[in-house]
Amino acid sequence: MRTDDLIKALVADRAIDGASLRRVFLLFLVGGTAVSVALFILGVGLRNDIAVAAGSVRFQFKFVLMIVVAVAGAGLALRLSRPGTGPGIWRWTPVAIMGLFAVGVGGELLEVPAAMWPAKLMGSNSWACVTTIPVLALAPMACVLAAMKNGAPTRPRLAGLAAGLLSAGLAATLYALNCADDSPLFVAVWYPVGIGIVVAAGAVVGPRVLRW
Amino acid sequence: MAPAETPGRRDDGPRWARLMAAAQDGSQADYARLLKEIVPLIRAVAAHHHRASDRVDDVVQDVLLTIHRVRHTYDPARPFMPWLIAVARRRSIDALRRRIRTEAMEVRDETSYETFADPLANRETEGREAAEILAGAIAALPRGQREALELVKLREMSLLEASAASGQSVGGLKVNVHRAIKALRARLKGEKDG
Repeated sequence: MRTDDLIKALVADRAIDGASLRRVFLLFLVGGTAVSVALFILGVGLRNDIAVAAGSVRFQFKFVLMIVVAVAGAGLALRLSRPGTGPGIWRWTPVAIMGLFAVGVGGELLEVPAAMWPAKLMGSNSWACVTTIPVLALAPMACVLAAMKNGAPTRPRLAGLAAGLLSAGLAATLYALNCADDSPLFVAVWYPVGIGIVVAAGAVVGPRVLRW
Repeated sequence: MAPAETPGRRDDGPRWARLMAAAQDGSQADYARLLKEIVPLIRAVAAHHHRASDRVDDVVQDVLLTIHRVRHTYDPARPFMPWLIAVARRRSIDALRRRIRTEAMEVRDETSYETFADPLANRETEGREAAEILAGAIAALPRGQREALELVKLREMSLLEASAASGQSVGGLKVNVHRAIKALRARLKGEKDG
């Protein structure tokens, strides 16, 4: 076929295969989050002292930090869904998140006597934290990857990684409502393990799933 | 490839962005213009990864099809050029990978192609293969040399005609033809030995 004929055929074909990236992304994200919220309510549940905890700075810090992780993942994932669009200024969000972690840890080290550091760090929910976050991240991850397939990521590994960050952030935000360990020492060690599992899974799955 | 050889002027980007935005809104005329105008740039990207001219054509068409399929992923608020180049480069490299994969799995058994006992009867396929190799080698030459070779040797223009057609000086043409032939000889010898 001659290239000119191909162009004529393409111009004649007015059907558009994909829908607005932002709209599809938002729709799938809401769907995936809804599944995880349902899972959380049925299988995990709020901590008993949530009303008291909500007033504590440590709890608020943990909660907000996980929302920041999710937002960073969302920004990165949406950008990386388009060909030729790199992470842009969003590339600095992981650095910002680490900075926030450092601020929290620093404050806690000043606040709490050294003798209590190991106990604070180990907490009592480390295993639950490391396993619940990946489980709650499954549905959002599947939905976000599906939404990204509507786009055309030219850097599928990075795109998968961003999808992992977003779904892990959502899962961790939910899990934070259950987890009784609020010390930034605990949060800075165990949450990143759970999140890291999901992000690594995203980076592995991305190149396979986001092929186009 | 030297930047000077890459088609596309500085103001192409914004104009193509406008054409693509109009195309997304359903303007067929703008879409047709855009696709026609971006072909040379796509060809340049493809020629970066592929030598044989028929293969470059295949990649160009594949890229055009892909652009058509993913045209909704272009955001008119962003520059068009990086979008276009990312799609073109991606498809071109994919094609290269596919080729390397299939070639690695191909088993070469020369005798199985020899259908006729008479060696003269098999010449035609061999000739075609040689022509393909030659075409690939010519496509891989630097632009000036390729142009000189095509005008002077293949289209058999006189040096003056070729000079008028290409804008190269007569002396430059002579040098380029000479260099092209030397490069082809070295290259084809390499293919035969290797």
